[in-house]
Amino acid sequence: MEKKNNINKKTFTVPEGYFEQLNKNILSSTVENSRTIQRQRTHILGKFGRAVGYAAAIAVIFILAFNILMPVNNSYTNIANIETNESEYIDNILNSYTIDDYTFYCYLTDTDLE
Amino acid sequence: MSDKKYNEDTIIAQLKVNTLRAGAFSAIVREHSESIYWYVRRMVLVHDDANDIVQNTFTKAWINIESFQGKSKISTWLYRIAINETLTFLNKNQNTTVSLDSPDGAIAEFLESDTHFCGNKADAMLQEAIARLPEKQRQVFNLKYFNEIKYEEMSKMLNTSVGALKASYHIAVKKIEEYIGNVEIS
Repeated sequence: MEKKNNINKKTFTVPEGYFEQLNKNILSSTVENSRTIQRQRTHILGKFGRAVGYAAAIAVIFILAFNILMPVNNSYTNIANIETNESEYIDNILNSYTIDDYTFYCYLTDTDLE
Repeated sequence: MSDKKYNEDTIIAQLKVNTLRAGAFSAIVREHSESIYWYVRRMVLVHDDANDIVQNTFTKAWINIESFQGKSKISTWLYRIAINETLTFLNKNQNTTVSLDSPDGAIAEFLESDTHFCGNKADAMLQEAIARLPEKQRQVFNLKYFNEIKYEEMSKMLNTSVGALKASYHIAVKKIEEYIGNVEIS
């Protein structure tokens, strides 16, 4: 041990207070840096979580307001309209559908013919 | 510096606990940074380079701290990282500050002009003789002669048998004596 220390002292030197500074530098780039990152991560996650919560609350309010304020008079959801639309649709098809007498006769049953 | 006494078993146990890991690592840095620095410094010779390598060594150790199983001594694990970092640095900077291709006496001359070197001419020549050894022999010589690492520990650090390490050290000593002898004659 004597030999090692003597040779170090005799040959190589370091700046005054170097090892204290070296340890500080190492710890600030490792342990302290990790702690800062951890704190930032927690902070960011906290902020993000709150933002998601606010967005969800606003969305729920919009949906509820829309359902309460808007009357349900949509043409697709009105039964009367469906019936009218359907009968018009069928009439149009029947009008445009060409059917000759023979085909029409084929569809008739015996009872119809009596 | 912490007043708490460093205890390897306690530190290894603390490394396994999330909340205690940072404190344990701080203790490791305080305990080992100086000896790691001196090993690296003797390998690269320049203070600023040694400083960068030591910081990289501990940064890597911290990043991989969870993978440390405690099967080897902490110092062995740190030396292994430092040895790898030093070799990477030396391979990347073969033609920079201290080149082994430079003529005899150039490394000693460079050291004598370095503000962080305060040895005499003989010390500078000894460092030059060590610097001119093949990489493996230089590692073995520095670890054994200056850091006083036991062959068994060194065997784990360098993945080399104890017999081969002893042979490397013996050859390194011979080459250093020979180099210094030749310089003194000329």
